[in-house]
Amino acid sequence: MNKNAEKMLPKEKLLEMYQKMVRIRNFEQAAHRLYTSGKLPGFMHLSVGQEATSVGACNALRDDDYITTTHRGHGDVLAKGVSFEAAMAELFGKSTGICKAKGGSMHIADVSKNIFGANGIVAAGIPIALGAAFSAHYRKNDRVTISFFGDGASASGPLHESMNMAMIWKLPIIFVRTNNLYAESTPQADFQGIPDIVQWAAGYGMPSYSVDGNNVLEVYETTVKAVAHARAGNGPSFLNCRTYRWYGHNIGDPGTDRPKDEIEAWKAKDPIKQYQEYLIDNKLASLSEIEAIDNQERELTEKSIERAEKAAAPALDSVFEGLYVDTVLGKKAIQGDR
Amino acid sequence: MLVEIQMPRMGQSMEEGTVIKWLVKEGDPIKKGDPLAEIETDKAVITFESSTDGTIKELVVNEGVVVPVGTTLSLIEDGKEGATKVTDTSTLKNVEKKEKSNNESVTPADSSTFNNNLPSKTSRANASPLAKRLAHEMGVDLLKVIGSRPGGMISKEDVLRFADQISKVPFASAETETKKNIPLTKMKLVIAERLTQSKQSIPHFYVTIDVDLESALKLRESLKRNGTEVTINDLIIRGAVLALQEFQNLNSTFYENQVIQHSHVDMAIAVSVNEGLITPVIKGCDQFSLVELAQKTKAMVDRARSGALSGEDIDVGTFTISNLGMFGVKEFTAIINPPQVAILAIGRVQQLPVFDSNGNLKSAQIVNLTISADHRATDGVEAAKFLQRVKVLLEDGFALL
Amino acid sequence: MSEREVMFREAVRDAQREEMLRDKNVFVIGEDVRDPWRGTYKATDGLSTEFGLDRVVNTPIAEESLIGLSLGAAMAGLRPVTELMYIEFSTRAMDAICLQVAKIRYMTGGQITVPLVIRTQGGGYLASGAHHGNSLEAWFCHVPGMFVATPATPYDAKGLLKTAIRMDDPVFYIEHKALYMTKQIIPEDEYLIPFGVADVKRSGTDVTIVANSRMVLLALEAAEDLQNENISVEIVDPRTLVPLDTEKILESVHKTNRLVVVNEGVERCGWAAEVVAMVQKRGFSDLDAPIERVCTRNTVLPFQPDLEKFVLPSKADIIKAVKTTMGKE
Repeated sequence: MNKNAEKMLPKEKLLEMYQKMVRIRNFEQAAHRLYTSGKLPGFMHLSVGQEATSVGACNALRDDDYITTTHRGHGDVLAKGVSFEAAMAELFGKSTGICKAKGGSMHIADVSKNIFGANGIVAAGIPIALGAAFSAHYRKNDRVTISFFGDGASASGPLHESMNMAMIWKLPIIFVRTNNLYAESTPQADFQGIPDIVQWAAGYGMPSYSVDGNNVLEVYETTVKAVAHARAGNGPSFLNCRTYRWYGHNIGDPGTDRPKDEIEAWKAKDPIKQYQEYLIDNKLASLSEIEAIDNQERELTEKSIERAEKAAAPALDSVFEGLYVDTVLGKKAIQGDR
Repeated sequence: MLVEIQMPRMGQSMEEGTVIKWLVKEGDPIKKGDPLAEIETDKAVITFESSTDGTIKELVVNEGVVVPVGTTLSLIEDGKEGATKVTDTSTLKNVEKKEKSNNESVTPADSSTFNNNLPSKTSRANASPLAKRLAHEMGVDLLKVIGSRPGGMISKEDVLRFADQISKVPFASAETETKKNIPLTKMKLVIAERLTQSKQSIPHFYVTIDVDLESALKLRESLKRNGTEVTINDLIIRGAVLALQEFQNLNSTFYENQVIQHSHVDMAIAVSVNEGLITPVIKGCDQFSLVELAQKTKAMVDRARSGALSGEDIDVGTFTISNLGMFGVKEFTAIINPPQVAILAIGRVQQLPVFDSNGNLKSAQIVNLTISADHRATDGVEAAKFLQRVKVLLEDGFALL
Repeated sequence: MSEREVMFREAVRDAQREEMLRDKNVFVIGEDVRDPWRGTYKATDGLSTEFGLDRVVNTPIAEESLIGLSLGAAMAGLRPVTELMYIEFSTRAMDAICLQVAKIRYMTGGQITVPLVIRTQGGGYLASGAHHGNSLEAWFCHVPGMFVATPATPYDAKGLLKTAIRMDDPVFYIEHKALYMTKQIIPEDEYLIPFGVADVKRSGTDVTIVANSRMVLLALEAAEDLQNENISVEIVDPRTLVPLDTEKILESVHKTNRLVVVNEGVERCGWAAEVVAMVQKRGFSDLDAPIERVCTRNTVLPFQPDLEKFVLPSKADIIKAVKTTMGKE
């Protein structure tokens, strides 16, 4: 654990990171429970175990910085500030959902928080993040963008195209790879040509870091460095955050693709537990303060789920809403036989 | 292999026909020459025979549906080896061979020539959506309209033309109080159209002559004693045939300001049957003797009366003879049947008092002949001379043999 | 009112230029769009010189990211006019176009606005072969969430592109490579053409032809020939395929009772089928003959010029189709 943390951050900030991780954990585990009891339709890809990467990275950003993320993006969007209730309502498919039940789990977005969305297509969010970074470059402001992506995207065209392009114009983008060692069911050795991806990223010419993705302060520190680099106009950086997801690829994944002892070993390195211990051991927080946060978050979780579940389902003709800005032309375009 | 039996072309001007009645069922065995169906052409109802032995595999077209010539009516399995035709019997074969889509000419492997324009197997009229709407709005029965588009499809134009013709009939309105509305059959419809056109476009004139049948009747008696039956009608027909060879303008067709004289006399004889008036034809009458002519005529009229006319009987004809004498009619004027230019109307044989050459009264058998002729192809003098010739032949008697 | 003659490609350039002058957020991005190359079909001629390299950006050959980047920039409030060099290259960016650009607004419950114009070109008749001569508008009409325009004339091109750039919705704007050098006299003064409004390029009474892009010109040539045979043809150019001015088309068919749809896309499942289906349903009782389609044959586009001409629609094909609807063929 980073011994300089207390110098870097005031106590509220340290506790805030703890709180956010707990919130994410609560959200994901509630989602698991609700999904397996049949209350949530569609797909569910949970990020339990990856909380430190989401929170450490997002906490290095300002509110006016942008992020995009993946189908496993609940943690990232919650870390960037999307409302727990609105996100949960979206999973329930309610009209109060953050995307009005149009997107679902894989497409949670909140433009007011500059969250340009989770994305169901692997690597599709990366060029979008590049575009957001481009807009900062175009407007000559110092906003930066984080593009979260996973192992699966590492081999995809758009990542490589984007890393190259980001270097041409020195765009203020940070490529954060949530490296949980698997692309769906395929282990790293089978989808990655060289063992250490940081070398590979460095080959594009940008600063590249290998990070313990379960150490929230390490993630935070490294991201701060990358953000400063970008804000100064020096271009992109690449962070490879090694972490692990406790659950399968999606709910319904039998979990037979990963060795049991591997899963157990990583569970033992629970990022939240580690951070909690660190805070208490280094007298940065008391047990009662920790417990207070835990209780607060538990209440938030319960209340939010209750409200989300009670909310109204969307009306059927809302299928024609939110498609075009120009509703007159939109009506013409939507028209059909039925 | 499957043999396709198609709607035959029973005459020069026939473009479509109707199966009035199927005389076989699917699965029946059939021999070449056996009757398959009664088919209504534009002139008559004929019995259509099978051209092959075999078993009836399918009756493709329903009774009462008007289909173009060439449409497959039925399929017969003849039990022989041979190139199996595409036997997807849910498609009707394309009649207009030149109506192929773009794709067909580039991809020879594409075997289906299904043409959506052909009439469906139901008895709904084959009409464009617009035609159907118009017909509905105007109260026109589409089943009476003849379609001019490919596959016999009725277009707006066809409906409007039909409605125009109907509107010229004073009692066509639905508002009128008629006791009974009898729709015209297909045949009568065609007759109505033809004769309307004839009366409207041909400058008819009429000439009448009396004929003393004394000699002709003697000839008849003489033949009867020798075992040969000829009727008065036969005698008159024979006279006309002979006279026409002299006055060829009356045995012609008027077309584009030309009188086209025919080389043979094809005599159309008006016969009344249940469905209406038909005019079967004896071709090449000029070649037959009186007796031969009489025999042919009798046979043909018998066939006509029993609805068994064959393809040979149905043709255009170059001259028509019509006899209403059996109803007591003394004389009448007939309407010319295009593309002919004349028609001879025969009245009843009357027993009349006449003065002989000495001025003495005697009893005579007189028959009235009236010719209607087309004043574009001939004139009154010619028509009169023709009649005079017929009279002379008949009053001579043995000249008719 | 003053006018001047312009080429189609100049009209396209002028539209971009005028909008870039009007709004600083409008910028051009694509492959080889800067001077002196000025775009593969020269539709961005002079823009980088006038507006600088910041506002006219050349990208590497990376269509997926090019479109994705344009989308991200649009989401952040800029107004990119993105050039996709050939419509075939959209295949490299199908996710970005069809799943991201078209759908992101809807999937986020309407939070996101995408004021993006993707300009591209397609079409044959120049022996460009099967990778560079296709008309693929049907693909993009099939994706709800975008508007699709296919201008046929310089006048339409300029007015539609200006409208597209000002719209807050994504527009897929398809030019035709064989139209770039066509000329027309257009107004000097600014004008905009609304989407969803068809243009009757020729009035007539016997048959309606609905045609788009270069097929409009081909239909006009056919109409001249047909006039000599006393067949009067009305040509309706929808200009925008999504949204489609169905009312104008139906109005025309109501008048003429016959319809021929001419589209350079492949016949099977092409855009023409959409018009046919729509008219069949909504104008059924106005039809006096089956609707004819004149499209590219269902085969791969060959390179050899005569073969290509045979596969693509020709004036003779249009004339034949018109006559067929009149029962004269």
